[in-house]
Amino acid sequence: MATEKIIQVAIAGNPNIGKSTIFNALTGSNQHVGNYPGITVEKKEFLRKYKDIEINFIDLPGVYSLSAYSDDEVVARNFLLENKADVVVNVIDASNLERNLYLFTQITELNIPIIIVLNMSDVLKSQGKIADTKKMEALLGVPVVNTVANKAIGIDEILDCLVNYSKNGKFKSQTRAKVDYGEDIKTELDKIDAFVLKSKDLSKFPSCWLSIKLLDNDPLALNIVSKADKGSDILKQLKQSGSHLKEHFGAKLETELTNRRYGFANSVAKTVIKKVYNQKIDISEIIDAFTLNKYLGIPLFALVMNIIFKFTFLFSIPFVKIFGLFFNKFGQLASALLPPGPIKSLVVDGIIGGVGGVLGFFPLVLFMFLAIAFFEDSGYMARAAFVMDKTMSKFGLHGKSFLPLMLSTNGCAVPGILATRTLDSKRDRLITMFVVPFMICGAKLPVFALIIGAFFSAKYQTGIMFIMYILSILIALVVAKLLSRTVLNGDDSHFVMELPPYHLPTLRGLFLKMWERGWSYVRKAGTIIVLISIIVWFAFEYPKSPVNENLSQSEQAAAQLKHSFAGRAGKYLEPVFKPIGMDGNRAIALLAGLAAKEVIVSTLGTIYAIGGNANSQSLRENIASDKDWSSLKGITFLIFCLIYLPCIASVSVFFKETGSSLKWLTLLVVGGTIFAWIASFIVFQLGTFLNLGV
Amino acid sequence: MNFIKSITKQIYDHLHKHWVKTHFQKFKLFNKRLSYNRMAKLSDVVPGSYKFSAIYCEDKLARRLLEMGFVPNEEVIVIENRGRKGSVMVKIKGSKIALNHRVADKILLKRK
Repeated sequence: MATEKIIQVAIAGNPNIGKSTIFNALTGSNQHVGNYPGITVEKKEFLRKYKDIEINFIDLPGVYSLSAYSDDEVVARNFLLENKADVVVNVIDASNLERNLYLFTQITELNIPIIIVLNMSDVLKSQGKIADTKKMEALLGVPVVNTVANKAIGIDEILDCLVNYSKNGKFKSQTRAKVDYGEDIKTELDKIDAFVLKSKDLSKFPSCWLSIKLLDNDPLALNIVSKADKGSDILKQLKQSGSHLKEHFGAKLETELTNRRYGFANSVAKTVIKKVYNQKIDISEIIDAFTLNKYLGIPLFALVMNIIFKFTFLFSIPFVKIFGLFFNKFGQLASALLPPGPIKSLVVDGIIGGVGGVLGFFPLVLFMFLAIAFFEDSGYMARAAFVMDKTMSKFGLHGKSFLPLMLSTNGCAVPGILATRTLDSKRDRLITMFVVPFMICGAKLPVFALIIGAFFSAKYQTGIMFIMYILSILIALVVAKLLSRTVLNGDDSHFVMELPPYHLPTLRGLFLKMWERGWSYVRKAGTIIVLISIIVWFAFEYPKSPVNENLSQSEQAAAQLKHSFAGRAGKYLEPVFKPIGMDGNRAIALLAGLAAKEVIVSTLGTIYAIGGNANSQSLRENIASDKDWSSLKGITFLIFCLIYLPCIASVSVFFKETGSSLKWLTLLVVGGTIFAWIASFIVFQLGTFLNLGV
Repeated sequence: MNFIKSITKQIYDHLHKHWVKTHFQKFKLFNKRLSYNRMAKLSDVVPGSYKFSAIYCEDKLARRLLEMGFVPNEEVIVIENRGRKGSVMVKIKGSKIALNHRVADKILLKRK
């Protein structure tokens, strides 16, 4: 075979069996891993040279079978059908051979050469069993390689096997074992086959696979056939065969076919695996006894969440500070170098400020992804979801929704929204993404501290703050319930989840996962955040107010604020904000808060002409002495703050994570604002009516 | 001495009866069904070893479970059943699977 030819190698296998560890090991370390984001699942690709042959590895999503019932399966299957990989590396968990061979029975029907990689052979050994690879090769007709991926044993053997096979051209002559469906099904399959072979459109599909899938009542296969020429003939024959077989077996045909496949897998597993000695104690069972315990489960879960939370913020704070310092210095440098004028203002305030906003989150996001990746890869996340499912499902949320909510409280909504990626169902993800911004994040905290500090004596401050926390959680849960009953009304999610055995994740795998996800955050959200921060900068800087020599610098800033587009918008919006007890100034502050919630405080500072860097103490006194504020108005302001639009960073991440769907964005923006207005209206009017704290 | 013994025995019997009553209350339906037709829902069964019989639900979930190994006459080991509205944990084809009550309610098991 010519050396220039690239071998396309698809890596397929069940979830949680170290498939990505093998992919990482095969593709080597410090090279770029390309991401190809699909609608919901991502497929990874990597090109490498080994012994003068270029091999392109494609990591398919982990699936149990190649039917068409989940997005992962459809992606994996379409790739195998359409892209025509030269070889499929089927990764199989040696300690659970039967279930993993089920996927093999389906891949083998696709007429693609296969190499089986028996991973986790050490786990099998610790169970006191040995797999006979020679026998397996003879039975299945494909090469079998033994590996222990997380110790990088047997990786070179896979590469050697790939190269040898492609050089000798053995792939073409490979005769793979197929499931014997029995005489009855076979005769019917041949009948359908005859019709399928006549159709021109269907010639690109492996005919034997297509007819089995048709009998299997597979919606995608039926769809393909109904569009093809002579499709009606095939469907007619299919109906005949289907009813004949159903009569014969007295059960659903799908069940019968699955049964045969599992029968094949079972018999292979039985002949291959040999028991040497009795099993040692299973560590997974012992850990599960604690983590899944009726009483200990939830406290342990809370502990783990606390660890993730602490870890994320403890380790990222120095980096966030360094980044902040860096951008501060960078801004100073730029302002020193650039001539004064609009360009300088744009670069320093708009662009550097915006990029700083994106990268300021970056360490936080990276550390969060690292912590989550650890618990995900170790197998605890599945247990946590199981433990929390009962409580969360009452509010229309999934067990895994707890993590994003937790990260958002006192933390940041951006990693919270990104953490919803761990949810599988799109509906659950959307609901969770909607409610994550309601939590009191780190940026909202100074606003709450300012207002509460201004109107309540020290005795009640913590109490009020606590009530606000409770309120935020209540609002989130009620909104989740509402959404799940109205807009996102669907069948309640079924919780069926495999609990994989625990294993220690590899450091490299963790860092790769962290980097991949973190980088995709910067790339996806970064561009939008920078763009919008420039728009916000423009709205606050233009048009310029006439320069008045008599005013001090801070007074000049206040005048500029009132003169700008945003200031004028605030004035126009005053009638809308009047019924909820707010004047134009506060409307301006809230508008500015769209950039980031902590900006509300500094904008209020500018309005009260204290200067850009508002000292909280004097601002607090200013607000407390202002006649237009009252404790009721303060509370209303806070409630509005709690519910209305999240900051731009979260909105753009939300937009990107919902698959750039304008529909959901509109619901978040419009719905959130209206809901905030209604809630504050009720609070303010009820408070005024009852004469509370006016 | 005998007096104390009899009293402790009575207390013990009382507690034991109470325990049996409460413990098997939630599985009452199961026992009844099992004695009639030797079948019961997964959500009702006491932990132990059973055979899978059938599932009654929409196509998507049925297919998913089928592919996870819920084929007729397959051995299902129920590890834990948290009773009313709680979730169920089973072992099938060598792997541990957690199901919520909604799903477990639709699965029918046979006595082995």
